[in-house]
Amino acid sequence: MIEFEQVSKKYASGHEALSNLSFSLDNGEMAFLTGHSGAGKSTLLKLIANIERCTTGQVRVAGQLLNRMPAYQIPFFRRQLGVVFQNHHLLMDRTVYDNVALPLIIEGERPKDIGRRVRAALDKVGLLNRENYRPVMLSGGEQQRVGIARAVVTKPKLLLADEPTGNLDPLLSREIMNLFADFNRVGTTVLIASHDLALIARMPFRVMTLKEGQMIRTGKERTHGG
Amino acid sequence: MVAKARKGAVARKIRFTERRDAWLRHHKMLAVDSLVQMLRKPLSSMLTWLVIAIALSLPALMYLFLLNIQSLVEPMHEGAQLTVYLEKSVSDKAGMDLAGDLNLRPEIFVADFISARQGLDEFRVYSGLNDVIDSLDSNPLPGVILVQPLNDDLIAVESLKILLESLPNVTEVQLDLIWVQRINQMSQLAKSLVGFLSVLFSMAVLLVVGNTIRLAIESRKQEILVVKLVGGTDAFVRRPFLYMGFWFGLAGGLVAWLFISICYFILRDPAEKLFQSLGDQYHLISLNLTGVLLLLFASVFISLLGSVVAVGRHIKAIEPT
Repeated sequence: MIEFEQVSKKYASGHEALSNLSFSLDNGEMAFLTGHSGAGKSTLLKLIANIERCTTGQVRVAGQLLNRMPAYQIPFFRRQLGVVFQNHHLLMDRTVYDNVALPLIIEGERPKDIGRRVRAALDKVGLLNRENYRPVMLSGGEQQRVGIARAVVTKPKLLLADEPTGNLDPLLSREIMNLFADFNRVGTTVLIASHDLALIARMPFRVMTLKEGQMIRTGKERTHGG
Repeated sequence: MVAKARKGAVARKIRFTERRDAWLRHHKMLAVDSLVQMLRKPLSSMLTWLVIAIALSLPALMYLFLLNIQSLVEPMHEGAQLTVYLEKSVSDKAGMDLAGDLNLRPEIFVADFISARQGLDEFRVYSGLNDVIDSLDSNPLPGVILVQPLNDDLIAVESLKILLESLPNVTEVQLDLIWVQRINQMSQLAKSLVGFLSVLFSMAVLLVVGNTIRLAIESRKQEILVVKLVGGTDAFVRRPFLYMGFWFGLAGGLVAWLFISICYFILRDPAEKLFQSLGDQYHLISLNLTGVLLLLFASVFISLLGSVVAVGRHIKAIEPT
C-alpha cells in the first residue's frame, strides 16, 4: 500500500527532515510511527498524502507514484485516503453532519446516500446524537472523533492519522486507538503517527521509529522475539 | 470478450452520467447556498450591491440623458437647409431653370426657386410691415433657391455649400440650422465620453467585486484548506465564489435598475412638461426591456469576470502545507 524507496526530504530552509528512508506497509496492515517531535513523523505523513513532495527517492501509495503526479490528479488521489489531523481541521461554522458529509459531497454522492453514510460513520464513532452540533460545542475527544468519522466516511483503503490522541486523556486515547483497530479489522490499512509510547506498547501492532529523519526501527526486525 | 467490452462501455457511460449528475447537483446546491449565504449577511452584501449599482447607474443615466437630447435634436436636424441667394439681375425664368438643374443633382433632395416677388409677399405677410414695403421703389430682395440636401451630415452639407457658391449668378449661400449640427457634434462627443466613463465604471465594478471575493476567500481560507485536504479540486473550491460573483452582479444590476427607475419617476413630470412645450412628438425616453436586460447582463458579466480574476489569483495560492 505504501512504499518508500530511499526517500529524502529537504525543505527550502535547508533542513533535511527525512534522509534516505526506505520502508513499506502492506495492504491491510496497521502500524504506528513514533519518534520525538521533529523526528520527521509529520513530514512522512505529508509525503504520503502528497501535501509535500520528496526531494529524492520514490514514494508509491496505492500503486501510484507520487513524485511526479500532476497537480490536477492530486485531489483524486487524496480521495482514496482518509486523513485524521492533529488539529482536527474541522469547519467550525458548520454542523458535525456537514463536516462529515464534506468528502461525500466532493465525490458527488447522491444526497440520500450521503445521509445514510454520514450517519453510519457517526454511529461508528459514537456521535450519532451530535450531528446537528457545531464542533465548538464538542469536547476535544469528540472533535477528534468527528475528524475520524470524516476520514472514514468514504471507506478509504488507507487511513492516516497524525497524533490523533494528542491532547486526550489516557482513557479517551485508548478508545480512539481501538476505533482505528476496528477499521483495520475490516481491511483498512492504517498508519498512525504518535508519541504516546505507553499506549502503543499495549497494542499488538507494528511500530516504526524515526530519529532525526532516519528510520531506526521498521518494526519488521525479529530482534525482540515477539 | 465482446460482452466484456460492452459491459465496460456501459459502466463508463454510467460513471459519466453519475459524474454529470453530481456536477449538476453541486451547481444547484451552490447556486442556492451562495444566495442564502449572501442574504444571511445583508448588510455587508448590500454595500457591495450599492457600489455596483451606483457605478452602473451613473453611465446608464448619462446615456439615457444623451438619448433624450438626441431625440429632441434629431427631428430639427432633418430640416438642414441651404439658402442660395441669386444676383438681382437673374430673371425668374433663369432662376427656375437653375433650380431645375439643381434638382437633378444626386446630392440634393429638393431645390425650390422663390422669386423676388414671392419673397417680398411672404415677407409682407410674415413681418406685417405693409406700409414700409409699399413705400419702396423697387423690390430689394433677390431671387432665392432653397436647397434641401439628401445627406444631412455636416461635411456633405459643407461641400455642397462650396459647390453652390461656385455657381455663376450666386451671391451667397447660407447654411441654416448650423447650431443643430453643432449640438449633434457635441452629442457625438458626449457619447464617446459616456463610453469611456462606462469602461471606467465597469472597471470599478470589476475591482470592487474582485476585492469582495478576495476578502471572502481570505475569510474562508481554513475551509478551502480542508476541502483541498479531503480531495476537493480547484474547480470545486472555485465554484462557490463564482456563484457569489454572479449573485452580486445580479443584485447590483437590480439595484441599479431601481436607481434609474427612481430617477425616472422624479424627472418624469418636469421633463414631460418641457418636452410638450417643444411639440407633441417628444416624449421622455426611459430604459426599455432590452435596456434593462442589457444592464443586468453587463452587471452579471462584469461581476463574474471580477470573481474569475480574484479566484484565479488567490485560490491556487492556498495549498495545505
